[in-house]
Amino acid sequence: MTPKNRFKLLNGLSRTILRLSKRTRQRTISNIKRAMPYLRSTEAYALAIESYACVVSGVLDTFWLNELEIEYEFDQKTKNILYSGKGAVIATLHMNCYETVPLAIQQLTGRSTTLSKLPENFPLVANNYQQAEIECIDKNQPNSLFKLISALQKNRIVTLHADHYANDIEMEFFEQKTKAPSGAALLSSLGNAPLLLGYSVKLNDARYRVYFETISDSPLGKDKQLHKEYMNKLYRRFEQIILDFPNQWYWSYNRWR
Amino acid sequence: MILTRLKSILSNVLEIDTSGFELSTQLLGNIPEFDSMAVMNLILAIEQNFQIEMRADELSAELFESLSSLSIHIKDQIVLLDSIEIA
Repeated sequence: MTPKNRFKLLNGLSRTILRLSKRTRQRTISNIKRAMPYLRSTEAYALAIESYACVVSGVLDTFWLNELEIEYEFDQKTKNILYSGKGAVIATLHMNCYETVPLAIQQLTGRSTTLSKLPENFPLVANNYQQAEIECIDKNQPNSLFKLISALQKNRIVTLHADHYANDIEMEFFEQKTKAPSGAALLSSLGNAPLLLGYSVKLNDARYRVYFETISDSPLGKDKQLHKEYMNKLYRRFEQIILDFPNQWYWSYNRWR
Repeated sequence: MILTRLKSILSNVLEIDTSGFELSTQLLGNIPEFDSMAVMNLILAIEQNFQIEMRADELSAELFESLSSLSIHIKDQIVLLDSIEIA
């Protein structure tokens, strides 16, 4: 199936799913209105449909990872870090096909590692990473943190999602109190690696542009207050990115609980 | 002495009762509270309490496998520091 046809099919399917699933629809629209209270209801609904279709098609694109066209954008400082041959941590967010960030890193450096929940009874997910030559560490394993630290020690570049709900630290996200993961900061500290931000923007059917920015060009120290400051910095950037590309973020996720 | 202090640190970090813990007590993968944040907090507490540094290249699942593995590592680090000071 061509990317164009995949997206056409999913666009229609997404509308139907959101129309039928009241809970998902209401949560998506509610989340959109948290971030953009100035939107009219019709606008919020249209954005809900568009973003849902984008993320669903992005998830499907994961099964065609090697066929995706990826462009990259980064400044000189970030380029130096990526090409230094040393380890780095990249915090990313759930936008469109969110595995394009570790894919871009693999294409750029050949040293990409990521963390994901690998379903035991669905080996196809693990196969996708293998085919793209991305090392994927299973989040379900109790030693996953140490595998990530070890990857950094072996000069690999580790991509972690950081925009989901987790009990690690208190955070404001679009001016609402919530909690967030601090894994990216923690790993920069324990793994002795700089901290970057990476995110993907879908350009058209199977073309993506992946952006990289430097958040800290040196490892974060072992200071929990510092970790919180840098995670705050990341979250301010997340907000800007999501508002720049609101039709590409995962609004239907139960982020604020 | 190291074991007693370590049990106290674990109790504070994990917010559980460690009075029944022994050297053979398994940690990583066996205590639900022992997640990534707990590991970070434990490292900070160990460094502060024992005045040692836990470097990135020393951190492994094996190190946090049991009270025994952690105690041995801390003891080795203290001995190493003492020998450097004497030298």
